[in-house]
Amino acid sequence: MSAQPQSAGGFAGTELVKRFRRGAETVSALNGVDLRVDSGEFVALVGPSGSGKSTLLALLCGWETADEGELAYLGQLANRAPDGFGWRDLALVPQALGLVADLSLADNVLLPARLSGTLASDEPRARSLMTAVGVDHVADRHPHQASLGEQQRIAVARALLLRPAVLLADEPTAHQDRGHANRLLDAVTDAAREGSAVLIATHDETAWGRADRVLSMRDGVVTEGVPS
Amino acid sequence: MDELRAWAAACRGIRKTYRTATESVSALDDVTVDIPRARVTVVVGPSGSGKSSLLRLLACIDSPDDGEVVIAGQRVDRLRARARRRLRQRQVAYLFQRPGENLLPYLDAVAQIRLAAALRGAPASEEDALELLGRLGLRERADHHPAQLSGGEQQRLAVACGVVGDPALVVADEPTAELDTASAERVLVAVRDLAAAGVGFVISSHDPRVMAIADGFVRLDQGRVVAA
Repeated sequence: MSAQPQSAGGFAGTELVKRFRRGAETVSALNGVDLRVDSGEFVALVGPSGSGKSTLLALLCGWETADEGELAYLGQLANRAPDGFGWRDLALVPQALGLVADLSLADNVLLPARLSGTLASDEPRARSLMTAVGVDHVADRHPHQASLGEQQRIAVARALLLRPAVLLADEPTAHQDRGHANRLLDAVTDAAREGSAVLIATHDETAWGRADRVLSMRDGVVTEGVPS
Repeated sequence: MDELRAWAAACRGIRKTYRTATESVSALDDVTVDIPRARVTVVVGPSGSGKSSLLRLLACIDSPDDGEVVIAGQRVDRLRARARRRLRQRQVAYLFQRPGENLLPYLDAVAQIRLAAALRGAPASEEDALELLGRLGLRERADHHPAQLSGGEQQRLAVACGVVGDPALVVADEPTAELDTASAERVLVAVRDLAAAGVGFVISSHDPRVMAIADGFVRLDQGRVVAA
């Protein structure tokens, strides 16, 4: 697991604003967010529910566009739009996990390789990641035959498979006991040390301690440091 | 058995009982139905009449206690779990009521369709996927992710994923329940058009808009098929 991400690069957002219409009301989900995560950094994003974390992740994935402000990807991702990113560029662990019900858990981990046509060469890394996060014993099962915690670890292994330049994760330890949460955090830390730019939204205080930096989010604004 | 091959799916004398700690509930009692290809069959009946139980059996998610279930000419009630899963993967699509649950959050529309086709063992090219999206009025949404689509667009995309790769049967549980009238109508036009190409749709619904496109009905009451 020593290879660098194939397109190292982070991202920087400046004065990002995102508003939604809710009936007659306009809600500001992001109120001028500044943030930057560089290649090799593991950053934790903390904040109460409704503070804008998921909106920010959706923006970084390219699923939403900012109403104001500027979002730039860095390094080898520079001048590219997230719409065109593959799993090597940007990988996500969504809160809903998004496992394919008809595939075994091992095949779910290999899904990015299948989509990029590198199935055979990425199989050893898939096995190694599954061992690292403690799901090798359920490799042949299907999602409905695994616990939610196991499914979540599969989703993390899937995201790490192609050594993404940017790794985004929404509460990746939410369904884990402490031991498995630590193994997931080890895997995420390894990804950063290998050059990924890592941002995880998390309520897990252990994760705050493991991160290089913590960003706090409240009312659509991001500040540096743990919440007071 | 030969006569059953003409059907997308058929059930003969099926019974299904669910047991709790204190009682047995007969969900289906001697149910015989035929689901033709290239037609839309709507399953109607009051809550608790057995609609969802019947859909789960047709979708090979569950097995009957007694009776025969035949999908695309193959008897499935006696298959072992692995063989049943393989048949389901190839021949059956299942659409959930909530549009978002039918799609993978991290894939764009073209990739969703191509993955669904590949999982059925019938790979689709990008051009095939774009053509199908065009038929459903989603051509401009080809590189959009589910979060960028409305509920109606998500459900039309789910229908596209359901029919790609030529399965025998698409099973849909209240697929318009969460959609406004205009969105529901566009989904149903898509169902109507795609059924004409050969797949059998079986849909449970209370929605008069769904009933308006039905070629045939299965009426259930207290777990039994009743006359119109």
